[in-house]
Amino acid sequence: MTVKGLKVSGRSLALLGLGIAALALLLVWGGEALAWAQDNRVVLVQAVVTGLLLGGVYSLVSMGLTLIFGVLDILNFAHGAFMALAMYASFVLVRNAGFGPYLSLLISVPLLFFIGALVQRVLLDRVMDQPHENQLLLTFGLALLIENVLLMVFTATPRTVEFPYAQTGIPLGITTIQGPLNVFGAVADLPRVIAFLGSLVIAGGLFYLLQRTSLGTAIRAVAENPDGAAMVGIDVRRMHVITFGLGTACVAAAGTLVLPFLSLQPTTGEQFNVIAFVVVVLGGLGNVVGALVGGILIGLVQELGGAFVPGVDKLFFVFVVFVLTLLLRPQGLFGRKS
Amino acid sequence: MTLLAVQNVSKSFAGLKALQNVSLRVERGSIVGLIGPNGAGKTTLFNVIAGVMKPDAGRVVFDGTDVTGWPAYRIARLGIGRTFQLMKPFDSLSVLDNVTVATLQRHRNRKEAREVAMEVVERLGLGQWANKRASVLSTAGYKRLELAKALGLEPSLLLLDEVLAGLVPSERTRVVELLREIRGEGVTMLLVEHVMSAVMALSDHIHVLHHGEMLASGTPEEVTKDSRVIEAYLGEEEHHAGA
Amino acid sequence: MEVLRRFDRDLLVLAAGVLVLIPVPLFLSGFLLEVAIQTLLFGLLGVAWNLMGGFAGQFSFGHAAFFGIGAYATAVVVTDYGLSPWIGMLLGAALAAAFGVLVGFLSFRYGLKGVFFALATFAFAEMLRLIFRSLEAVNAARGFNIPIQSGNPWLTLQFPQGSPNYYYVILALLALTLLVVILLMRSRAGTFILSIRENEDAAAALGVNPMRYKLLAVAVSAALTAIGGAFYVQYFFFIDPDLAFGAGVSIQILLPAIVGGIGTIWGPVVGALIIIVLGQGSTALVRTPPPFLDVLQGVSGLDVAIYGALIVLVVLFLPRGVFGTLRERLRAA
Repeated sequence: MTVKGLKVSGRSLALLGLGIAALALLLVWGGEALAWAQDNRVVLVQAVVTGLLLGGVYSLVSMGLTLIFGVLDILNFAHGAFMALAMYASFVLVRNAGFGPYLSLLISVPLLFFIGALVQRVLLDRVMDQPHENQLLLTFGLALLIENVLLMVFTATPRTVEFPYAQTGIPLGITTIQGPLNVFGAVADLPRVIAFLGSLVIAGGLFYLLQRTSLGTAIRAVAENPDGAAMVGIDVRRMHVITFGLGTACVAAAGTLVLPFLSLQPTTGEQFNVIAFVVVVLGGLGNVVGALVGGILIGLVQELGGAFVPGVDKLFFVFVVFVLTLLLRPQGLFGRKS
Repeated sequence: MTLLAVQNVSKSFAGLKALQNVSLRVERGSIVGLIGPNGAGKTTLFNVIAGVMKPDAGRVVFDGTDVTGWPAYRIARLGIGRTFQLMKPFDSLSVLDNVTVATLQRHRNRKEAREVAMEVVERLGLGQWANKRASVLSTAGYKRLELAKALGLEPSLLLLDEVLAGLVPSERTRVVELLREIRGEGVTMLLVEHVMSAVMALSDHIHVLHHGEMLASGTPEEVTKDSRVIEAYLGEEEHHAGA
Repeated sequence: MEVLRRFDRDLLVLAAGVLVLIPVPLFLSGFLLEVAIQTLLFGLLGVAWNLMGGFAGQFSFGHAAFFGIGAYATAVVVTDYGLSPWIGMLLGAALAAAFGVLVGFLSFRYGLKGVFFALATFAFAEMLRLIFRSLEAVNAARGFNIPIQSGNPWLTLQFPQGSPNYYYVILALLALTLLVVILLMRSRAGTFILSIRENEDAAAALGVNPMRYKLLAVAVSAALTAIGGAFYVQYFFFIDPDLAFGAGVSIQILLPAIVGGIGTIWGPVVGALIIIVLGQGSTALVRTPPPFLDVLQGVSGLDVAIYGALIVLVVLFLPRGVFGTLRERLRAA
């Protein structure tokens, strides 16, 4: 439509409208809101801290998912199921082999890399040309299968793994870090902090791999232009397999990292799965940086939403963001594929 | 009597000026050709006329009604039929059903619509595939189906986007004859074509588009003698030869 | 086979099918009758979904939204107002259709297609679930227990447990659903809906208003699904947000069409049968497994695991579904 000769899209009008509404709300209730915020400072800071810490994990999970989409054009609905699988693998290692949960990373990550690569090679490779809905359906069926086999083997009894440094604190040379930490007056549990830091480290590793190694370059080439990549001699199918493995390895790492502070059931991965999808759409499909930023944002939205409106399930706000993104900025904050 | 008037239409895509201040008229009952080198903006102009895109500026007036910015389906209902250069058949439906979708606009009764569609299908020589899935057709068959669908709409103006491309000469002659027949039935046509012989033979009037601007218009003889037109096409050839 | 004439034949098949199925309660009772009732309900939901997902080509991952609206509308009408569930059914159908049109309009207007559309429908269903879980007006997470009502059992839609009348009701509802879908697809609107699925641009170029016909398919699909939800509540006497709007419900609704044949009239019915049989089979297997499968004793999750495997196999090898593939083979022969 045209407004006084200016071309305006419905979408930008909607965004503008939202912005004006937000501004109006701010002006009318801003004073009260500020006072409320002062009173509830503790709650809010806590929400920010918790949201950030959780967001880091979301980022890692989502980066794996968005990498898979960017390179293979597959929306992997089984991502969360793989996470649960990794968590059970770690659980078994901890319970039966006396591993420390963080040590089990050394096994769970490569194991899931291998499993993911296998799944891609054997199953998903066949549906690469089918419409996206079919791929979504296939990975969904896979998710059902994995989760329910886990259910059959481990039952629905919630499992827990103890955080090994709960009593003793983390020894770091001269000092020992005792949890929980105090961050601006908010409580930050050690295992959550470790999960956050671990996620960032692994995300950094992923970045390094993608930007600085020849493997990463090859992967990015396939994401940009599969035909061109094939023409310069890159084994595209091998890249597909490796990428899927990498994506799965990311979510496996995330799973093992959260094991010390979440209880484990076959459906534990589901919530992360849904959130990862929201993050990936928010950040831009295939955009790894977008997934990183988006993960943190969604973590914040979830916790802050829960703080502002205590009665409603926190996931609700995540979905609101999701729907708004789909409608107003479907290409995501950062656009697709970077 | 002007059936279609395009007035000062402009359209850009992300900075690229596809159409700049383009105007043309199509008289009722005539066949007008639209030619120009590749990328001149011909299909964009069609898309604007047919309502697939909104112009940034300018108007499209059809039979006295300003249809600028109307959605495609309303313009189709008003009487403008079009074929697509990249053909868009309804693959899972039968050939007959493909055309029935069009005839159902003018004939609400299913049986009647199907009968009229069958006539169109036969006329376009697709009778033997009437009840087969459209996906079994060859490219030439697809082209004829595109035309059949547009005709099923019983349009007063037909926009033909390269209906002859990819056809062998014998098929081409048949289509050209068919177009002449259709004109005889009172349908006005605006056609985009690269097959020069056909354009020259069929058109009463020709417009030449180049880099989104109207370069020249006139009768076929006038246009072929126009130095600017020759240069535009030769320039193209040189460009291709040198590259 | 020409599309329009195919739907004509379907009416005959429907009539014959109903006749054949009417005397079933004479042969089945108790547990088997329950299974039959559930099969018919699944079939109804699958056929309803298929109208939107298969014929209109708008793949929905969130049909639980419509199911839940129908279920809750009936629960509220019966429990809080003491009215007949048939009123709840009609109200639920209308509300679901309205919700569908709203969601559909937003999605189509903003150009959501394919997977994005599917994800959006999933999000909307989840949002409803979360809202209902927090809303006291609908008993939040506790849900509704349908009270026993006095009066004409056909008006209150409450029969003694194990009564064959439930079977007759769901059979009639399934027949109604099939009738509506067949008549719709047989009509002018149905041809337009199919053309939009095949190629929206080409359909528009032939005068078909894409938004209008897509929304029509969504509205009818939603209303029919809600009717299924209403029956569910009356049959099981209980509903809560997870049972109404859960992701699992959306999956169960689309499964019959995927397995049986998306975009066919009978596919979802065939699919429902296959799924129920497999489900019951695996439940029986888990209850009393043969000696070499002892490890399966009492295990939960086998049936859904099988569904998962089934989906994978169908997508890989039978993308047209069981019924769809059979039909193709028969046609080619």
